[in-house]
Amino acid sequence: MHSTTRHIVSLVLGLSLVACGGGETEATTPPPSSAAPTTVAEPTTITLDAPAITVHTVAAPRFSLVVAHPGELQLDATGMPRDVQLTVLDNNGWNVASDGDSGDGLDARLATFLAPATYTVRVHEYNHVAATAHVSARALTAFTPAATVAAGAPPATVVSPAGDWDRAASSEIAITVATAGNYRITAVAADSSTCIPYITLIQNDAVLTTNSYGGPNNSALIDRALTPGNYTLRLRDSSYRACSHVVTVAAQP
Amino acid sequence: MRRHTLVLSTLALLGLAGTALAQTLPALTIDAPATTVEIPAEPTLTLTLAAPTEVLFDAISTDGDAQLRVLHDGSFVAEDGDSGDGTNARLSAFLAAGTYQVVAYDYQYRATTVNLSAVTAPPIASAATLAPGAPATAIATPAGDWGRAASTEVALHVATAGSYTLTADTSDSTCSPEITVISGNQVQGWVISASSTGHAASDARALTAGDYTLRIRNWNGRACAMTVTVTPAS
Repeated sequence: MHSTTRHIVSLVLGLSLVACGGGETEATTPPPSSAAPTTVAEPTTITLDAPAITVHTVAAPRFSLVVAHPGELQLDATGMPRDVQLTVLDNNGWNVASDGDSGDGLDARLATFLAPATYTVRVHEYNHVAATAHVSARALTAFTPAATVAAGAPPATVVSPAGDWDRAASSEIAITVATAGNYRITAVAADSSTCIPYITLIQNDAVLTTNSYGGPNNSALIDRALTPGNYTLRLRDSSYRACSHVVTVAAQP
Repeated sequence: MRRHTLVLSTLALLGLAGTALAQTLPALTIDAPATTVEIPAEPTLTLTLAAPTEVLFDAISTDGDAQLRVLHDGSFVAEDGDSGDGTNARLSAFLAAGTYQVVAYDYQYRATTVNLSAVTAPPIASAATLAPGAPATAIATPAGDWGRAASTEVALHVATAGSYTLTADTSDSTCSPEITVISGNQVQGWVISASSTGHAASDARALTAGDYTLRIRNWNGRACAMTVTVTPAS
């Protein structure tokens, strides 16, 4: 065999081994064999004090999701009356985002900012019963900022709407930073006894950080070194209530 | 350089560049109509108990991370992920006579093989025997890597029905005592827990005349010295 070809084959075989469960937390189902599988009935009862029985757990359906550009995606998994759950995993099998019931009824819905990569989307049923799921992904359009705040400028008052899931209950503020430095971003609810701000700092369609309860009186606070540029602060109440928040961006010594 | 390019090109053709794993999966395309998929049921086994029993369940997998859930008429009873060796699941539960559903699944929802057993839990020897009003009795709970293994038991004989205060106290600021009251192989009421570490677990209970078992442990599973008292509640 030619040396180059041998290298390629070795590499491909190695990667194939990894793909078949050599590493991380996600393993793939082996390719179908040409031989007819032998079907063995699974036990349906377990008897007290009897020897252990062997059962086989089943693989939940998985999809490959290719993200070509950074952006926010909404994923939905519906399957009422069953309780379909949704998980997004990265290329190493780590959980990126998951949801159970943020959609209508028991349906799963999530919005997440994803960097360009290939992800795995997994669906399963909360009670481990059989279900039919309908799974979709769509690109989300950006919010229209409710206000623009520059570092050192007077605070902006922003109302986050009531919503039945996190994105629906969110508003956004544009933040402009002219000079590199350390900045403190705070969100204080007008009614701090009822509302608890939850803030997410975003730049270039990627989440930089989030905070809730970071400041006094249930306020949210982010201390962060920022380079000059445009940022977005997504803001909501932790319990998805309609709330008024005062947002300040201040340079720190 | 040429060989490097050739390798990358070949991998790209095979769909292995970037992620070999995901290429074997059906695609979920952004902004495409929803894809319909069937989610299969996980193994669910029926367990029938003729009498109240403390049942010890084990779910052992050599190729996955076995999880275990026990239901009664579809309602949650108990579950566990990793209380057994390694990532195996183990739980003990006092169950009344009846029919239960035992569900096994993998933590990552993969196809795996699980050996599942349900046995009568072996008795825990009583460390002491108490009667209401007796002096505080010193006990030592063992260290254990799961709840039952970290437990000791005290036998309690109640001669007269009444309200009694059950207390497990400790002077060790790292301990968090917990008392489970058991009678006739059934748990009586809620587990009595300390409000925080270094504090006593104490509560008043109405007890009928008879024999009880107090199962006592340190909530965090470490060995702990405690004293146990049962006094008539005022």
